[in-house]
Amino acid sequence: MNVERPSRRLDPAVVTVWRVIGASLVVPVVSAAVAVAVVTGLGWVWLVAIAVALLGVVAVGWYPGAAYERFRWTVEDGVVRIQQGIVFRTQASVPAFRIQHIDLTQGPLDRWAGLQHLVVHTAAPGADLELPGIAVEDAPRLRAELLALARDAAAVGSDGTVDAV
Amino acid sequence: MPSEPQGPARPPEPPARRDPPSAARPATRLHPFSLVRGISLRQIAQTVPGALVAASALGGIGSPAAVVPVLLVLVALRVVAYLRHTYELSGESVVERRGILQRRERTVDLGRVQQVEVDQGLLDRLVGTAVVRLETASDAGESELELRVVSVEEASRLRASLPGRDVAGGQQPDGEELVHLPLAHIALAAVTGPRLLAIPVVVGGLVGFLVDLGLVEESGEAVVERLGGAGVGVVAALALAVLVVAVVVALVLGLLRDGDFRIRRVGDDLHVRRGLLATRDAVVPIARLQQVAVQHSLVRRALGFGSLVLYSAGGSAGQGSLERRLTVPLARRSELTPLALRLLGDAGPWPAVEPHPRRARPRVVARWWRRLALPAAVGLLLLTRAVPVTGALIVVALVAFAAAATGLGVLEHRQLASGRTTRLVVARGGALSIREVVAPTGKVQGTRVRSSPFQRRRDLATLVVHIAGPGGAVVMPDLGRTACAEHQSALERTPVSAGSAAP
Repeated sequence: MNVERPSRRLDPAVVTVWRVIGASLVVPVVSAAVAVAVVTGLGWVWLVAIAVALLGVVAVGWYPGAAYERFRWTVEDGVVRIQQGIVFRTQASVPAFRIQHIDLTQGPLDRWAGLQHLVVHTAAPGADLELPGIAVEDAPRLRAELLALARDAAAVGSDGTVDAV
Repeated sequence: MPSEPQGPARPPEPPARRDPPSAARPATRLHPFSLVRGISLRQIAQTVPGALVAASALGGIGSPAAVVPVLLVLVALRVVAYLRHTYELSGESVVERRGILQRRERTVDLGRVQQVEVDQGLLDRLVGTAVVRLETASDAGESELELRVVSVEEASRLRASLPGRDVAGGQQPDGEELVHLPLAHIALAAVTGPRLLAIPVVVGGLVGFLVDLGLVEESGEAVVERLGGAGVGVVAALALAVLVVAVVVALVLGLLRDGDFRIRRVGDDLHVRRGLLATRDAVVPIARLQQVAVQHSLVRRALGFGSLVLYSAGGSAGQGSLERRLTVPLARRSELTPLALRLLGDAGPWPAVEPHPRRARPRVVARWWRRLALPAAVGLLLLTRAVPVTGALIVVALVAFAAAATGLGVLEHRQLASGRTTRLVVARGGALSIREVVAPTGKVQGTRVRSSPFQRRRDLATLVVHIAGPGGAVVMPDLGRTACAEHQSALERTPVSAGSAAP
């Protein structure tokens, strides 16, 4: 079992992206709740609206930072590992020789923040790994590194003991 | 991209290719019977709306003035499509060209062809044609070729000329017979299988539909009142009739589909043949097998039997299932594990399975509560439509739900077990219908260990072992956290693959 926690983190700019995404979801919901409270004027509806607003603040103010802290990844011993999650925690690992191809994707928000998502694809879609915030300057190099690692690892295994799929 | 290594038992040099001069052929058309046979459901779905619009424009659907020209156009289109559909075989690839306005040229590299299937429907048998399907290892969704239909001789020629697929067309080559199911077993499988429920479900749906239409009295009470005492006998007789029809239909369909079920091992491939009137004939390379599921449904288990499902990867999820999910309908319980091991290419002993920790039981029960909550709510809702709602009914229903969910949870927890050797990984689960899945460690694409706060409190986690292909992941739920970490760490290393011809 790997004793030390994976050490590398995502680019800090990803926290801002997550906050923006969170806000875009939270603000309409909170506004709707407050609007309903104002319109109906009932006491308990106001309580609900306040609760929703508080939840929204937590979701945008605290959650992205905490999730960022929890997201760790590493590439060592020929294995790509990711640890993430606050409530539901996940430890995922993919051996390098299983990498089929790697995607670099970018939405408009990511472009504005200078980030890319790096997605490692294997033959089983469920095993795919995603690094949701890698700096644009670093992403292509990281992809090339991982692909080279995959190629070398596959070459080691090609004495016939490991199947392509 | 990493280059594809050769399969495990193949010699290091490239396989000797049978490439007789007749293998390379110039662009050839399909058998004329494909004018009819080549029509797919998708094509029908695409052309019917257009045809209907045209027909109504011409003079209303059903009027001869409209139907005849539309039909003529459709037939002409079909003939043109047939004339423009060709395939070409060179030493290295197969090229298929089709399409009238939108042309499509698909090239399949022969070296990547993993499975070849030759199917004969009932009509094909009469006419002397067969459907040939080529599938590759690429899961990306392209590169699957289906020739529907070619003559039987052409099918065997194609099969023979594909490298590595050293099969004399149609006949079963020498090899070791692993499975040959007697008709009695096929019949038993058909009668105890899920298809049995098809007729009752259809009838039930029909009755529900009639009720919704208002053709049948809605309230159960009213129906009973109307029929009176003698009515109960009628209902019972009707139910019995439905059951008998269901059994007969399931029996006939099962025998037709799986009759004469055989699997032979020829070198590194499994040759599968099944079907009484319409035969399906497939070659599944053992190296393509991703996992095997051993299933003991409640009824079959009681009779001392179970079934096996083989999952293989490779090929798109499109038309032609091509035995990506191959079911051996029945086998004796004692033979199931040895057979699974042999089908995986003698991959070594079955891993010793260890039960999951006792402290996992509340988690498993909680899972069943969650699983049954929605169906129970729906069931309760339906029940209230038929029978008047009383407080006592609600209480009884809730108690029944709690008892069922808890009971099933306890039963499943007793079955939960998993294990691993250097070559295989196994997970077992299921409450009434037990399912044991085995996968070669050489097929593991990646692993995930997930834990919820409840699991963490009890030092538990769920291990998901990802495998390619239609079988999904091998899941070990609610296992001790240390065990999960050990499995994950062991599965990260370069594993040994199963499927070599050597024991």
